[in-house]
Amino acid sequence: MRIVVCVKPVPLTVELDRTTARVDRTGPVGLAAVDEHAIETALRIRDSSEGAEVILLALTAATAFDSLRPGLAIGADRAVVIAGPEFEGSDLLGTSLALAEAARALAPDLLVFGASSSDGNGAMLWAAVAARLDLPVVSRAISAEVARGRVTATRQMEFGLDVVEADLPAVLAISGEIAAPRYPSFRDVIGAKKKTVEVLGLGSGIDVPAERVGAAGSRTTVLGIRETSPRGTRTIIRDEGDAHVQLAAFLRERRLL
Amino acid sequence: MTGRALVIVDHQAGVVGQGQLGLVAQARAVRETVEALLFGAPSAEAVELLGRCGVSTVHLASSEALNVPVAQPRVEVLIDLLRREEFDVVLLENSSLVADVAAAAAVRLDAGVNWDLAALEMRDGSLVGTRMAVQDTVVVEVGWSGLPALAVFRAGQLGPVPPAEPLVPTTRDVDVELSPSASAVRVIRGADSALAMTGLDTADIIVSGGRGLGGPENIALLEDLADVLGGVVGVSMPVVDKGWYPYSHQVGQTGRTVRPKLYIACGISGAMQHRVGMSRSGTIVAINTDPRAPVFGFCDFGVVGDLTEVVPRLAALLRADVRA
Ligand SMILES: Cc1cc2nc3c(=O)[nH]c(=O)nc-3n(C[C@H](O)[C@H](O)[C@H](O)COP(=O)(O)OP(=O)(O)OC[C@H]3O[C@@H](n4cnc5c(N)ncnc54)[C@H](O)[C@@H]3O)c2cc1C
Ligand SMILES: Cc1cc2nc3c(=O)[nH]c(=O)nc-3n(C[C@H](O)[C@H](O)[C@H](O)COP(=O)(O)OP(=O)(O)OC[C@H]3O[C@@H](n4cnc5c(N)ncnc54)[C@H](O)[C@@H]3O)c2cc1C
Repeated sequence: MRIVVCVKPVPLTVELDRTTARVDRTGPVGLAAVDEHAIETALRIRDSSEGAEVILLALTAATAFDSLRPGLAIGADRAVVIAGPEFEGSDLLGTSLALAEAARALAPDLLVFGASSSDGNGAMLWAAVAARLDLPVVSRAISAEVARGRVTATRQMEFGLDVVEADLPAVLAISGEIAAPRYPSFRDVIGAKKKTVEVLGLGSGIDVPAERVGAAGSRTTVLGIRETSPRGTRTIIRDEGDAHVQLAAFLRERRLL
Repeated sequence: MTGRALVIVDHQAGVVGQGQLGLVAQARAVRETVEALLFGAPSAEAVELLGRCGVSTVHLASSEALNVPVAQPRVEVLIDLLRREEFDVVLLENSSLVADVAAAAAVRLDAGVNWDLAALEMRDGSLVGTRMAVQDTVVVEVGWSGLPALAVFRAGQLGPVPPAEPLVPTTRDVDVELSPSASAVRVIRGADSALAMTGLDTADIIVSGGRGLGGPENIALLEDLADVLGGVVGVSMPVVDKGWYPYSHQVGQTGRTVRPKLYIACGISGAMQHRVGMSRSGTIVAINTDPRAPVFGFCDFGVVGDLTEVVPRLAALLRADVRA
């Protein structure tokens, strides 16, 4: 069985550039915690079945390759990275197209995603990739297992928990921090340096028209950004035994009682 | 302002959520004609409600496959409708299900989707969406190239609908031959529907607790205060993760987005993922032992103190006031 995990190296602190409304990606990057949990989810599924492998897949800047090493150190077998300036500024359409192209070639039985990342926050990518590959999608999973050629997952939905299943191949998106990643040993960390990271680019592995990815392929645009007025005056008090009295007075003044 | 807008609505026993009706108002602001695609058993009640908000035609999609919360059959119905009839804007309110529907529809139609929207407007003949960012301190304006434009609103952002010229909508049955892919995801155990009825979405007052509760036993303090105030209990994610309270009460990015008149955050630090779910509340009160907690940066009234002391004292005081 082959499991591919889509991971996104994200800036360690998310800052929106106040003039371009783009996320500042010049600082250090790392794997989002939710993506580490996605990798761990995949590793557990791999470990429970004979001869399975886990491959990391990322569309990212060439400078971010090293941020995948922790994923390899905890046990992913290898990584495939899609890079190139042509992909910069991709929205959901271009991102999903590039990832789907790479995934199609890898022909995974299970394609795993993290929950929404700290920067883009869309939580839509898995369904977009699944649509391109015409695969069933099971999202918001808080637990998942694979047996007898199908994936079964408990989903965390707004209306409660339910259980769904789909035959493989399928796309699985986890709901958050559901599987704390194992700690790598020193040997694992060293070993990770020897694992292969294959690099794909436009025309080399990703054979799609240039005008369908990057800013050219985007159907969404950021027009501008402006500051909003923060909330009005704030009152902060320290409780000296009568905070409840002052708070009640405040609520009464605001006609909330 | 020509062109037609389509609003996607999933009703629960005839009840259409406040936010989904709010979509109609947003659609009216940008298009003359507003129609709705209604998933679920045909409901005269829901149709009438949509008409009162200004919807002229309701497309009823009620096949068996749509009775379960799975995206694929909804995608196929939506795509079929959009291929047969010309809509240039499609409005949806975000949810786990809707996100999957919108993403697949965007791919199938090669259409742009902007998510996390707070409002839509027309500017110089073009559609402009606005979204709050950087902890709601900046507004980002976004646009679309190509049609149709898919607009996904942040859940819980849209309030009551301003009155419209009431219409008696025409209804049309949407009859779609679903592909085998539509049944590829099977629900083998449905959710306990009682969970859905937390009342968080419509509550005027929410008393919320976080990790600072220290343990499940202190939830009772929140419940008691909520009881005196006539409010509902909300929680942050760690409280759910630790199993202290059900997920259906979680406020934040991966829970509910709420906008009560009063939100009292007790033992909640005010992390960005929590904040996005409650920052549109009318008045925000924070009770936290740590004066440097981020929540003090965006509340209206903050108490630096121990919730296990302040909360019960407040509840007792208010209860005494009621009696007096
Ligand atoms: C502030 C902001 C707002 C945006 N708004 C829009 C918008 O409205 N419409 C739009 O079309 N685009 C938008 N984008 C761009 C969009 O976020 C990216 O194209 C993104 O990769 C699409 O996925 P997502 O945001 O749904 O994924 P996320 O929710 O960010 O990620 C979900 C999961 O997908 C996987 N994943 C995400 N990115 C990658 C990657 N590059 N490589 C491998 N796996 C990945 C990971 O498993 C991750 O856990 C926005 C970006 C930012 C920073
Ligand atoms: C993808 C993603 C999605 C997420 N979605 C959500 C979401 O939907 N909702 C959500 O809430 N979080 C979400 N989170 C988690 C979020 O980042 C924070 O970790 C979380 O909100 C913190 O919860 P908290 O404030 O209860 O806990 P903490 O941050 O640990 O804060 C506890 C606070 O309690 C205070 N305290 C301690 N004892 C007392 C006392 N006796 N009296 C008063 N105060 C006390 C402390 O000073 C502290 O400020 C998400 C995270 C990720 C990565």
